[in-house]
Amino acid sequence: MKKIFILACISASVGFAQTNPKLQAKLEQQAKELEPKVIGWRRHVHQYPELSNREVKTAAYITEHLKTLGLKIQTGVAKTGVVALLETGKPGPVIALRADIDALPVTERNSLPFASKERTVFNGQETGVMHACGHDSHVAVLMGVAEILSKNKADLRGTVKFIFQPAEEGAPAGEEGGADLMVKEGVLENPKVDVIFGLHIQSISPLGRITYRPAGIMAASDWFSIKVKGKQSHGSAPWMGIDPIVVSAQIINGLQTIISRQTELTKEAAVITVGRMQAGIRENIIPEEAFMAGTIRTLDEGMQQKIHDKIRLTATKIAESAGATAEVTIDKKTPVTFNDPALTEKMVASLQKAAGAENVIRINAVTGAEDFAFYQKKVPGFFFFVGAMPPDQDPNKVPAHHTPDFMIDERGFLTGLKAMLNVTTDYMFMK
Amino acid sequence: MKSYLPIRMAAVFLFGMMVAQAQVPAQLQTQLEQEAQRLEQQLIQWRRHFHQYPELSNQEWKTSAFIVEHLKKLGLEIQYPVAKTGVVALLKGGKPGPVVALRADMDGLPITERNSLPFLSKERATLAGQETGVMHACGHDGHMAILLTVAEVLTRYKNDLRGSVKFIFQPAEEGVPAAEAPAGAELMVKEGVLANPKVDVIFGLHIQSLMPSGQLSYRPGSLMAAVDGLAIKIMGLGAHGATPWDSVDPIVVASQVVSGLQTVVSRQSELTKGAAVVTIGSIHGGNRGNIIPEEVNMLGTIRSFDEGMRKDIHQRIGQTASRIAESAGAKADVQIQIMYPVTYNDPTLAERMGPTLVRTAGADRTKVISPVTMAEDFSFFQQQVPGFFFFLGAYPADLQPNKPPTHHTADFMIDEKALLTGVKALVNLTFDYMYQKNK
Repeated sequence: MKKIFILACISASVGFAQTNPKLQAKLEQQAKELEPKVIGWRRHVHQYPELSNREVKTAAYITEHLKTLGLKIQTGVAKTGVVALLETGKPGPVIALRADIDALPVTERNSLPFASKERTVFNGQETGVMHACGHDSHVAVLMGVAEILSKNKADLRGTVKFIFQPAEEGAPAGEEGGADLMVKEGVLENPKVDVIFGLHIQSISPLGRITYRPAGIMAASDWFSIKVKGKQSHGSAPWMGIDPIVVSAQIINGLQTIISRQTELTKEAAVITVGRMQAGIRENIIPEEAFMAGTIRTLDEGMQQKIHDKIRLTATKIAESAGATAEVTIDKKTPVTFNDPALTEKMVASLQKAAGAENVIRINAVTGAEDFAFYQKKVPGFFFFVGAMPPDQDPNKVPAHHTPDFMIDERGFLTGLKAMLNVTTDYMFMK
Repeated sequence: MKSYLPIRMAAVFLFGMMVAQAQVPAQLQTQLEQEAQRLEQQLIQWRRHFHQYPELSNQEWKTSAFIVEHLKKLGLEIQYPVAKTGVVALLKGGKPGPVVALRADMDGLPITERNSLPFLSKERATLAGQETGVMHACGHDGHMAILLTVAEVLTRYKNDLRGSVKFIFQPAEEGVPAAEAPAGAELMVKEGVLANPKVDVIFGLHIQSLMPSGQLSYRPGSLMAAVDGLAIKIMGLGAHGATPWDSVDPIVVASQVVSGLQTVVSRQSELTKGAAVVTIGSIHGGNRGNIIPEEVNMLGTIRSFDEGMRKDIHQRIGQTASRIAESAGAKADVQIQIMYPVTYNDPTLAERMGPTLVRTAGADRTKVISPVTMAEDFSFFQQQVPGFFFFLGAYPADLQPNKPPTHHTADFMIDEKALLTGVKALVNLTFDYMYQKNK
């Protein structure tokens, strides 16, 4: 808390060039006026959710709106993504704003009039489809930002690139997708993006609150799998084989000591979770191999690399200690969502104007991951959370993201809208 | 103390009867028993004398002098000292036959005796810089008294002996520091105790204070474990206890190694072939709560019953400790001190001599038992010649229940009435072996 106060003083005293207060007041007013339309858009998107890399109708809906704003539009980017360019014609930075557009294979459970009735087949299983992570809100907020900025183009400088990104939740097996693919397809080029902003609605954070963190805000997520190869034998004669299950148990314990004994936890937190373990088929057969898979969460690239190395060392040597072998595969998934510290400090004031200083709170890192991180690997970026927990909600009973009961308070959109407008125009007019 | 099925006992007994073509004449058997009986008071007095003046391993000078004095009176050929403080005496029988060796160990332990016996030990000694009491807390006092009495009985009936008897009073059964090794039975063998004349068979017994008094217990094959010493040093990197990431924590690594070593037994050893034990009995690392030390030192003991398993376990301990250490960036230095082999009763010999024990103690007081994980350097003799080792139960009838007379404790206690059974057993084994061998 003390730190926030100091940061506020710094930004006030250094006196960054800011958006003309008159312009800001005008944009804020327009945001208020647009709020009902934004809520309407969100309800439409909510009612017709689509899974990752399948956001065809969603993309068409977005494109239709952007066309009315007279923006330069690219569709079919990274499969179903939409990118729109607002060129003011005046010199200035290229600012990218990103919303993710995909939904989840979750069956909605509530009585909203716009509840999703969509169904699909996912991994061979029939399932409902639901915007159970709030990407519908992100789409609606960014559509609103695009509309307001386009209307006020004459007062602005530089260029704004609107990125509607598919497949944040992960592309289907065997497909590429999401931010990674967008970057590969050059979304940060032509024109070259100088900075990128993004937000995530949060059902567990109070309405009206904005939360952020300089440096790592969301974890890098890497997947690993370990195949322990032993030697099969009868369960009654373990000495005839090499028991991969007991070896795996030793490895799981050993992996925990990487965090508890070998990782500098004051720098950042880290997590190693073995989430899956498979071995054997019968009680009285010692199987030939055991398989385990897990996720690694880190908030610092140096620590990430070290932990990967230590996992390999720990697993292979413990396996060797019993005459087994371990084959370790580490699949780098999503990098750290790393907020450029200098950029973050500069933009805090913009958030405070949107939500009130008392509602802008610096938080601890979260160990969830976000593919916004791929943009931030290329250009400075700032990602923050917008609260949308209904005021009458018991905070201890908030339905979590990714569950059928997930619910947000739509009044949070206005805060999100204002925050995006402020960071964009403040950055534009900064020296 | 699990015994075999009665049917097996019967089989052993019958088998023994069938091959026993020649027998010690019944009259001679009775005379020998009566002679032993007649010497019981002296037997107990000798035991009490040894008990009151115990001496540590390789320091049994007064003990051996007492033994030599009595053997001289019997007119035996004596070699002294052998293997530091040992005594070897030869009795030549009136008729030709095999050379039978009988062995008793002589050393006491660094334990301060806790009881009110009139002959309790008040002896004190300094061991590794520490002052300590000395006590016959394993029953070797009984072994010596028994063997001296056996020598007297056999000497009196030497004309009936078919062959020779070599009496071996062995020092340092309890072991010596690595620097003093070899000692005890191993050194006796090196110094040629089993040659000149060449020993054909060796018999030995051990008093067991936790087994019923007067009961004889034995087992063909492995009776007592091989013992080896284990020392592991885990070398890590020290740091403040608050910042483990600056360290390679040898304490956490050592605990993983301790757990891993258990799987050498539970998962990797063929336990149907023989039991095995890996015990870490001492672990030391660090000297303060908030300092991660540089190293941890562990000491342990390994028990096994099969030479192949023994070698395999040694190799696996090395692999387990060093690879687990490497898994955390530490190093393990593993030292295995080879100590005593398995006390292995030649199966043919044991099955043949089983009936002699039955004849001595009665069928209801003779048991075939499971192996025990204690070790005994009698095994060095058995590596050279067929040998038979058995237990003489000596649980004191009047013992307070809260004081189990466990070996190697200050409360160790035996029932002296059992000693006579020990004398009879060794006398009978000697005669039976000689008479059977000759026909």
